[in-house]
Amino acid sequence: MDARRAPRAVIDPKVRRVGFFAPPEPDPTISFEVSPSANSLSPVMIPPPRHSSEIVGLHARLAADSPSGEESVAAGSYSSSSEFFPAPVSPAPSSRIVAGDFFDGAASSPSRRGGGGKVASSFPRGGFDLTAVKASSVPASELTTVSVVNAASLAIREREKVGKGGGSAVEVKDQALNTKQKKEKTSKAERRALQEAQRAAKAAAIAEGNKASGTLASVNVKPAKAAKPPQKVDNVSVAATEKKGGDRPPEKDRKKDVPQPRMQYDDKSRVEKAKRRAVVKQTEARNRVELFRHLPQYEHGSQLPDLEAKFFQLDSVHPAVYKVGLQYLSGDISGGNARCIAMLQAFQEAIKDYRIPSEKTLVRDLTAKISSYVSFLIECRPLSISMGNAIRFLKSRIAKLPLTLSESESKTSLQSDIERFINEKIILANKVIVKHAVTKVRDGDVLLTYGSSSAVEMILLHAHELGKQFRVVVVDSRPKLSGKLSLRRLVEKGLSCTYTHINAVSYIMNEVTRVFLGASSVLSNGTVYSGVGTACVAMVAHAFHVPVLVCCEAYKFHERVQQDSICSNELGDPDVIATVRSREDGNHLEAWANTENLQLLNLIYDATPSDYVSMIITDYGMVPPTSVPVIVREYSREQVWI
Amino acid sequence: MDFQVVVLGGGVSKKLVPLVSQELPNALLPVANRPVLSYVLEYLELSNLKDLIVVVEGEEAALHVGAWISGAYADRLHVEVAAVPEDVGTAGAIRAISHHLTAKDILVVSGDLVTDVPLGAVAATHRRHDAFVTAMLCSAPVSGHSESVSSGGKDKAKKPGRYDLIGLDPTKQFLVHIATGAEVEKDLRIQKSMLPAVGQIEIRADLMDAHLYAFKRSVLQEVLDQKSAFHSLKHDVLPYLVRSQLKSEVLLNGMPQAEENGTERVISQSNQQMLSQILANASKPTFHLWHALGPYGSTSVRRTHKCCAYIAGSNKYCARLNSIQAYSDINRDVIGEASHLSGYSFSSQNNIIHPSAELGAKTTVGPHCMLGEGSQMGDKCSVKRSVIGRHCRIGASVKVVNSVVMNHVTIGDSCSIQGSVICSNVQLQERAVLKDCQVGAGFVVAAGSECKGEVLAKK
Repeated sequence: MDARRAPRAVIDPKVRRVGFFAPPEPDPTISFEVSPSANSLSPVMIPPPRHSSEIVGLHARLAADSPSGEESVAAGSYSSSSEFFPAPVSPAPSSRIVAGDFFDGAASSPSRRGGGGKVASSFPRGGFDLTAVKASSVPASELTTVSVVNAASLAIREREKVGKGGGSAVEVKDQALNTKQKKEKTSKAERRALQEAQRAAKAAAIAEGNKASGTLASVNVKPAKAAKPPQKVDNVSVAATEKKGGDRPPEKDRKKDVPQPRMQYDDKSRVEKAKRRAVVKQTEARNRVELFRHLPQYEHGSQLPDLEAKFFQLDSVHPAVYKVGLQYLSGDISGGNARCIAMLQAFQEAIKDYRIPSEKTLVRDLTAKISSYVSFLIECRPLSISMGNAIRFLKSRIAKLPLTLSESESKTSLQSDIERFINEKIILANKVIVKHAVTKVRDGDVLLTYGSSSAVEMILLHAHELGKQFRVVVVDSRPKLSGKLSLRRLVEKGLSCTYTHINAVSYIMNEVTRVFLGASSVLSNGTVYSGVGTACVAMVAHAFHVPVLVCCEAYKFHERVQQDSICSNELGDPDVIATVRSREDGNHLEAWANTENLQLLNLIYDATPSDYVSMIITDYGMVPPTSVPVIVREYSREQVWI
Repeated sequence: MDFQVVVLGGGVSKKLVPLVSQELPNALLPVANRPVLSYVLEYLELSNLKDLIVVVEGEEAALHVGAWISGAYADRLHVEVAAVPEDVGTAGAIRAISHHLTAKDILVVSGDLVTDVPLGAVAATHRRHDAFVTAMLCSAPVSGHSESVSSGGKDKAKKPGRYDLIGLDPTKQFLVHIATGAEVEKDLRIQKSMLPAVGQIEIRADLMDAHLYAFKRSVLQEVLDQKSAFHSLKHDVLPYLVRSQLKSEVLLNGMPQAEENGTERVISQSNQQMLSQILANASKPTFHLWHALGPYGSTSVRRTHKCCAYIAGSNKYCARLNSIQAYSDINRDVIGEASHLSGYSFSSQNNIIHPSAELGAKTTVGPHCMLGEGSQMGDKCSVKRSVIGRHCRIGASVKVVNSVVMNHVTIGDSCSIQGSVICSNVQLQERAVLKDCQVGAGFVVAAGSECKGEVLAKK
């Protein structure tokens, strides 16, 4: 086996033999340490899908549904489109209603307001009389509404404004509605042309009518302006619905084939656009590192207070999602599994509180809502790959909701789907990984782990519970020192540990017999994408012929291929590597932001080439890195995540 | 965002006695010619909080407050006013309306707060830490003003100041100790258990509890229910929660207890346990967590809860109108250095003179002054750093420095007013000289009288 590994030590791009090939003659003298035959479990162990019956059922259902399902989808889209583009009859009444409302509102709004005030001020008496009724130590008091926000009157006033300017806004609306019916078939450009022409004709007509009364120019301008808002609104909404409704399916298909390029943060125009949309203030980071300009730059100091201050303004974001976002931003939650769970639980909560707005369908509106939450979370901290997978799963579940389900049914089904994802893909997967990995721990082993990984920690604790005798080396690195927390928990449970920093890894590797590493993701070329420093540990271990076992749940696998840690990564707070908290005299870099020729780079992740990984322990078994694409293909392509 | 706001409007405070009365409760005391409550309401409105409950002590006061709100905020805010008996304290006030509280978290704001600290930040801090209570702390007012406005002689008896002593953990996020100035004698008592848990406590005397709290509703209700002796949020409830945060007694029975039925439940429970463990391990540990886990090797898990603090930046304005001294300070600040709070636009001379106000010849109104609607001033007057209310009639050669003059005040010729507060409908006859006085509503100061540091009010 070692002989087979030797030629692979070169990291340069090369043709890798994947699949079946004649292995070179095995060297009988050197036996591979993690010999599969020594244990009951073979390294390559892709069991048949565990929930086979379920999946079969799913397939069967899909198959059975497919003709009718397609039909129903078509019908659905048709009916919804008819909802958005009302039948020719409907606009007339609606415009009449507008007119009626307008006159009514104009007449009644002042009087209503006055009345409201009077009623309110006379209320208190009645309210206070009631206070004496309750006989407790502190009498419960009644609330008296003294002022009310009258949304209706506000709306009316606004409409009034529109009406005042144009004098014929209603008419314009009519026209807009008329054009709306036609829009169903016309393309965007045609629609625009049509509208422009109508607007011009309208302005001209009004101008002609008013020619006698006043100066031509001023009158001409005013109605045109006044006429704009309603038309514009219509235009936008129609365009939006059109985009959502008509163009969706083909676009979606296209998207599936070609993954959308990720945001390049050195592309100025795109960054500008994103900034305008952003909820969290994105400030320009100074002293960017040249090679990593394309990544979202970290600027923590100004983001958190700014986001906090907006707490009550952001009504569109569900409180639970907001909380998770804050926790990401402030670093209260870190670690792939925890972030994913926190996000999913927040979504669960959001779905629980979700109500379908009138005239919308759950599938579309909820997908849009989740997308907006996700973009909020991205602004707080870039998503991890595992989170991306979880979001993809959730969206596919939403999209596949049968149209026949009622609102509450679909909500509960989504919630239980999320629950199941958490349980099966994260919790159960972790348990299975622990079960597999424990077989690799033998008495007298010295296990090295790097940083803090929930899976590795559970493996170590479980092995200890089984009574295995082994020693643990926890390797840590600045600035997070996450290993300390892990170490503390291990020591508490009575494991014998050694704690060291990554600087000493080459020394300590001499005595290590196995390296267990966690991973943020495993890419389909076998590259392990994990916390920065992992690659270093894996390489040193490889150099010392120590097997490297990476523990990673299958839901973190991704079909992307990545050769380096540059093109996709995350930047952390540069300040934390500049300052040393424990040392007063160690902070020589205090004013680093002002020196132009200094750039600090705090990378969060790195990529470990598959050559340095002996085995990946996942919930589908223990596999070599070359088998990752198989798992990705077999289990994620068909959306068999559950 | 699932927050409910309770504004404690107070009643008629004894500390402000010549200024307030049944007709003019604390909440309606004018600050730069606007009731002080309007600062809170507008502050809340700015934060998009439009459903408010205003609790007022005393029914008559509540009537006045309710009438004013309905006049000023109809169409803008959804305000409900509740009257509670006098002297129930802040805790009692919350108790009285407790059955109206439904949201997950409650924001309790004192009605006499004048501030521009972002409210969202307090709420966000509260949510982020999932705290039981979050208190807003701001830098205590420096009592350096007292040279110019040496406060009314009445309580000038060398008090060392009413500051709070606040203990913070090293990250400055959690409250570990709180004692209000009144309780502090010579010694400062700190819980022994707190010190090893936190490691390092920073005791600050330069911070003031702004009486703006975010409470978890269930906690607040339970504490108020169980501890019927608690009278005040600031003096009883908050210290209690801070004190007990390492051995939490609250919500012991409120924890979700999953009913077990069959093995399925057990499995899901063990999953739940693992889930919470993953979450707990991944989050940044606070001293609460360390303490909860206990020392090495111990298995018992102690229950803790978090009491957070939000410390307002030093560039933010924050003051409470809870004394006469504070009243003149706030009036001066609102038209002076914190002028963005007043909501008025200042003239180029840095003052506000209502267009309908009439000024006599050679009358000067200095910067940081305010002259209300319809007020008239005679010749050769001089106004410096003062607020003059509506429809005042001021004679010739009058000097007003560092003072607050409310509405409908008549001031005779050659009066001199310095560092004083003159309430509505007061009549000052000729040549009266007031220095550091408070004149109650409707009082008549005789001609030629000279007062210094006195409280003048109708008997």
